[in-house]
Amino acid sequence: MSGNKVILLEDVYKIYNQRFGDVIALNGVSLSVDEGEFIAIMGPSGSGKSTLLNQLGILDVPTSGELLIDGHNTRLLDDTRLTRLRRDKIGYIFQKFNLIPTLTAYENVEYPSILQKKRRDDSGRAYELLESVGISRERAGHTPNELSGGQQQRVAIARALINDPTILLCDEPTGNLDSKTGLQIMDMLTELNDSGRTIVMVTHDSNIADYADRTIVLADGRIVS
Amino acid sequence: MRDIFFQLSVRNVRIHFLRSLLAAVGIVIGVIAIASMGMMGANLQLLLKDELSSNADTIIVEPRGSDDSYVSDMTVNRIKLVAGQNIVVPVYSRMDRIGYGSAVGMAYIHGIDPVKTKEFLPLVDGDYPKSDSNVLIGAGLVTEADIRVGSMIKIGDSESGNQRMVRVSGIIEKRGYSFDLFTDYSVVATERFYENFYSKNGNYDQVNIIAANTDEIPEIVTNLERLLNKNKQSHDRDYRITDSGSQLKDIQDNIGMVSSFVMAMGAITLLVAAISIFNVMMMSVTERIREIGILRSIGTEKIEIRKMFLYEATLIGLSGSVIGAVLSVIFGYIVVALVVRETDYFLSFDSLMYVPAGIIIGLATCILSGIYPAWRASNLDPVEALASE
Ligand SMILES: Nc1ncnc2c1ncn2[C@@H]1O[C@H](COP(=O)(O)OP(=O)(O)O)[C@@H](O)[C@H]1O
Ligand SMILES: [Mg+2]
Repeated sequence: MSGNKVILLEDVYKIYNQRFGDVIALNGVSLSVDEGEFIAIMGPSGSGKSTLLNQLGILDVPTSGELLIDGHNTRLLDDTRLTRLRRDKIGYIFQKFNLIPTLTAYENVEYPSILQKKRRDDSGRAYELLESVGISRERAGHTPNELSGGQQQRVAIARALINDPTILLCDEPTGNLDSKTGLQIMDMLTELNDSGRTIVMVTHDSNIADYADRTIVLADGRIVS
Repeated sequence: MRDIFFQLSVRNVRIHFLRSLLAAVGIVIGVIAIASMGMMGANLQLLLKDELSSNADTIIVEPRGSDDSYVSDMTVNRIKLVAGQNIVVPVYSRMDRIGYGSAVGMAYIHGIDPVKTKEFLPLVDGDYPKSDSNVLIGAGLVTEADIRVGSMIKIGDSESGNQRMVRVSGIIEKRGYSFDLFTDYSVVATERFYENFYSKNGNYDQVNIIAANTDEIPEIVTNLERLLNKNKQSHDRDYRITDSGSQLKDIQDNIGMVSSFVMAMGAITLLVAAISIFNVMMMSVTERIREIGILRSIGTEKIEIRKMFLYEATLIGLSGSVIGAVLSVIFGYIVVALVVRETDYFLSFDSLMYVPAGIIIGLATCILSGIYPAWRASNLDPVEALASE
């Protein structure tokens, strides 16, 4: 499994042009992630963690430098292709869960697969995934605001997995949860990683970072260790 | 497939039902205004077309000025010279009392040479007068006073002693609003009867020229103007010379103008509705910036975001337009019944086509007002959208 590079950054810069001068959010970052790795990104506030994760999630493109996601050079793709790459290769897990409020838990999980296949899911995969994260069929009929934080994050994990992505990106996945629920979520991520899923996770909690194989520390837009 | 973006739009409309409803009400009103006004104009035009088109071939010469002005015998002869082969019909006209049995009423009495009468007043029953004690009556008097062929009617006032009994020999076909002569509720007597009864001699109230070829009308009118009015300025012309064809056209143009004006007011209503839909859509975008960010971050394409918002505008527009169209059939019927006073044409294509036209205009308005908000939504930066509260 290992040796296959799913993420490759070479001298990546992200510069925001502001009225009072440029903000260099990423200052020449080079990084490679092998398939099946579990990486934690740490660093003080404003060090560029979210910016880096947004580049990996192709929500944003670098100002300069090369960024390859599963072999695709993101600078060569138009918005539609970037979106499809994101849809098919990336699973996103956010600190604030970010479920769609008008859809039920089940529909939230099903949604990315509808985007991909252009039809409703009839394989039962959405229910299977929900079950595997501990959400019953009955719960799955509820909308996000009827679920607890922990339940919402489980639904979000199921949603991130529905299109069988190469990479799972997690931005402070336990940041809005109590410590017990947080640990359950981390156990789930560890299990996913054990079954071969590549994970990149931003956190400022070193206990959480301990779950990862490797920790990268950012400061002022550079990797310092 | 039950489109997921359609589902999202439906749910969003449902969540914000009241404001979506208010926006739809705007469209309902706009569509009603446009469609029912369009129908009114169409019905008016259809009615006039049927009522007026039969006699587009007549030139009318009337004296201008006070009531006792007239067209003299000499002038009639000059008109005949200009008219050439075309039939010239000098007409006496006045209001007088008529009586039938115990019923009494006022009606127009016309005096026309029976030979000329034949040329432009077709009968539905009976015959043209064979003597001066025979008259024709308009079809309207048949239905109104139950007078028939063979009935004896009285003309004139018994108190002044000047009253004569005449026999109805024929019924003139219904002619509607005609410019040359109103006959539906009139009595048409012979020229000689009129001259004797009212002591008249050759001073006519009106002269009609029936053109064999309508193409000649403008030339005849020009020649009459030169002959009778000597090309004077309009305010001191002695005669009014009109032709029914151009009067008909003037009236139709006026109706066309009035109904386009009213429809333009309907369009303003729709514009207001468009602004309110635009507003609702912009609100919907602003409120859902974060949701749009989520949708984009998990792989929704720009075009799919646009679709979602355009569906929302279409939902509001379609429901508003369809309700508006249904109501416009009802409103349109009421307006036509009240203003045109004739609903025979209501179900015709020219009239009912304003219903689908209203739907299309209403729907197009909504979709157009949804375009910019949809475009805005799809072009939001996903990172910034996700960061918003
Ligand atoms: N959209 C933006 N416009 C301007 N500056 C930005 C923007 N996003 C981030 N930055 C700046 O880039 C730097 C890195 O930010 P971020 O990646 O959010 O840091 P972290 O997630 O580590 O706290 C910060 O100085 C921040 O102010
Ligand atoms: Mg951050």
